[in-house]
Amino acid sequence: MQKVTRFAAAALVALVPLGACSQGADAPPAAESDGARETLAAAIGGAPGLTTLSDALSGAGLADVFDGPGSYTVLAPDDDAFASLGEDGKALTDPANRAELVAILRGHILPGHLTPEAIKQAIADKKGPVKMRTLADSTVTFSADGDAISIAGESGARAKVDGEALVASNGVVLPINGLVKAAPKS
Amino acid sequence: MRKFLIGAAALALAASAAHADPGNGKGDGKGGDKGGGQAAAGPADPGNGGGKAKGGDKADRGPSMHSAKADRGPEMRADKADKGAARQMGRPNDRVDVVRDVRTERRADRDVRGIDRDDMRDDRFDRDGNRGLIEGCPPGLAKKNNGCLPPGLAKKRDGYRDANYRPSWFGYSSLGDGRYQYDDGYLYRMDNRGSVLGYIPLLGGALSVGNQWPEYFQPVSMPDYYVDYYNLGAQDSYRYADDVLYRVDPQTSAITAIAALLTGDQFNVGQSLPMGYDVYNVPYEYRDRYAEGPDANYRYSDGYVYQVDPETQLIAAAIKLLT
Repeated sequence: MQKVTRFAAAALVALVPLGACSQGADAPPAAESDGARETLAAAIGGAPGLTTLSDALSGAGLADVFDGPGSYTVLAPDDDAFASLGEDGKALTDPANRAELVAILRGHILPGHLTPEAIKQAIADKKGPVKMRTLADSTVTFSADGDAISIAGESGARAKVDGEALVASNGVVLPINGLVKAAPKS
Repeated sequence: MRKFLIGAAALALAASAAHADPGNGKGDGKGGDKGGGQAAAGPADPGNGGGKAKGGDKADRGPSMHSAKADRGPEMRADKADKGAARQMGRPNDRVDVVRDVRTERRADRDVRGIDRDDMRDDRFDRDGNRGLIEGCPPGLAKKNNGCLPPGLAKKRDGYRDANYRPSWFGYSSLGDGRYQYDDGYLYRMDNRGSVLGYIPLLGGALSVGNQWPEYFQPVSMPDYYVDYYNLGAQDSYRYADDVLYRVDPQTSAITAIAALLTGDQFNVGQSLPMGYDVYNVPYEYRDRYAEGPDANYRYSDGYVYQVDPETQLIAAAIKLLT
């Protein structure tokens, strides 16, 4: 099994736009053809701007999940998103609060491989917002916001996809600019 | 023995289902070659199913830790909110037609292993076994005056940790609302006087790498398919609770890794696609084979790809992606 290598060089894989008619006929991402795609854990670990998330996943023990055989899509709040939480964000990284952090992170994990193109196609097909379940027994709602994809959690927290999707061997990372699940306020 | 207080919820969407599988045996190993070169999945098997299987397929798995959990195969849970509605496993007359994604040349191997199609027809397990509120105080926390109070809750705390949580926030939607508080890896059910009535060990908290697997959580025997798909190994080397698979040291029962997160969603052939699968999410290596088209949509969940009728949104087949 591949080790988590946070600082390993990780190619940022640009997605090739999917075919308009068939989501399944999407061309493979650039790195797929070389047969050497890294795992989700490595992709997150090597991505600039996802340092906080990578540390959180490692600290929470979830990095192993993303080195494993399951297929997931990670809605990845960037460092600025965590920083914007202020003191609450700092509290989340306290080991004593790790279970809460994990609950939040689970709300950012979706089953399977979702690409921006597939999400946009689904929105277009449905002519409106679409839902995907998370690994936290909840759903997130995707909607179009101009050319961007907006994501809403069940509590109403919103974020946008703000970076290129990273395609790993066992999933996809979608960088987002906020958290779509947060701890309840006291 | 501690008593699990499972909340009774009522949103049963559908009955659970068993599986029929036209073939068994393992594919080409999970790893880098998951999809390449695989033959088209065979047709869904209309003949087998019948969720009656319960234990007949466990002979090759060693002794079960407890008989009620001897079933294997993905439990087709009626609904996430149905967790409290009995943990019984065998629900007759339910069926999911399953085809397995394997190389055709492997079919001979499967036959050699002597695993017949009935072996895999039931892909359920006891999801509800390790789920729910546990009465009393967590281990090591002494009861005082008809209750117990975790150290972290005994003092004024800062920030959001003072919040009352709904169990559903941690994924326990069956427990309903109530006064719950978090402290040091557990979610505590409190009474009006602030005493602890029960507790839930949480992923990332009490259920963390390096911690001992709690004795009050029974081992759950996972279906062969899950064991293979998630590389779980022998039965004494993994544990399950609350839609999470853990790896444990067989000797010490210490948690060594979190193996996988599961959706726990129920997919029954002939029934509607569960809510929350609006987007095509088939893993890349299977997209050529399971491409969206006018005649079929495909969705992935917990190691399976489900074929869905685009018009009716009914599930037409469950396809194992082994390995």
